[in-house]
Amino acid sequence: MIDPHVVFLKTPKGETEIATREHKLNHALRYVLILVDGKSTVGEIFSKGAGLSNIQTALDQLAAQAFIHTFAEARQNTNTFMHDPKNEIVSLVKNMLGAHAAPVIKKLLESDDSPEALVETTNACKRLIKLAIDDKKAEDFVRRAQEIIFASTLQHRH
Amino acid sequence: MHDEITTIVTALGILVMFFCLWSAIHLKAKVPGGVVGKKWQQMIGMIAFFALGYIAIPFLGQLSEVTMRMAVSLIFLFGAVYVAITLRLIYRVIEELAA
Repeated sequence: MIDPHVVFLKTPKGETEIATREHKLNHALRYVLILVDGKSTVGEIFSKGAGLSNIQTALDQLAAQAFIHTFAEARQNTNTFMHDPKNEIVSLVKNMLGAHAAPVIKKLLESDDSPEALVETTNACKRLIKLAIDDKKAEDFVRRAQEIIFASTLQHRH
Repeated sequence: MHDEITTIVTALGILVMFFCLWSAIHLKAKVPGGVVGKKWQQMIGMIAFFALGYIAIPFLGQLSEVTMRMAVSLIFLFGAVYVAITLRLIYRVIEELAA
């Protein structure tokens, strides 16, 4: 039984799922995922989704499939990722591009780990995405990837 | 002799065009979308049209002169459109690489 005071928020995978319906979640799971807003407690989600039969199971499934996590888990993930921004960008690419991510991930994995090299590689990846995968996602990718690199650089300075 | 050469050249044209069609369809998986992916789909349609047109060439002689001229004119027109699509695509790729 999940603690009714716990607050869940969507993972990047969960945010992407809302935007793209890539994983084709069933109606109930998608509805509960929408209710997870990073502010409402589990108890409040139970109240808001009163018409649904099993919110508890839905939350368990969404957490197990990494569509949602608690703030503590989010912090832990962020700390893990911040040591390896390349890893986080690879995860971002997987979430954004799904089955078409492979050539972009290959480019990223071949890149040097320095922030300058990663910025250069993300620009090259943006071009690849724009030309061959999805021109609408290219700008969003490069913005989010460079935010990750910037955040990682700041953390190293502190 | 002249007829044989014409038949051989036409057959070679059909073979090469079908190879192009196969290559374009095969490569589509590597270009699922984006600027190139969208144009690629149009190019597959054009190549398929040309392949059908090439197959029809041996039978054009059985058509009336007016219909034959119309068929040849259409092949010329779509040839020009194909070149325009290809040039536009190359330009977009260069533009993106230069940005």
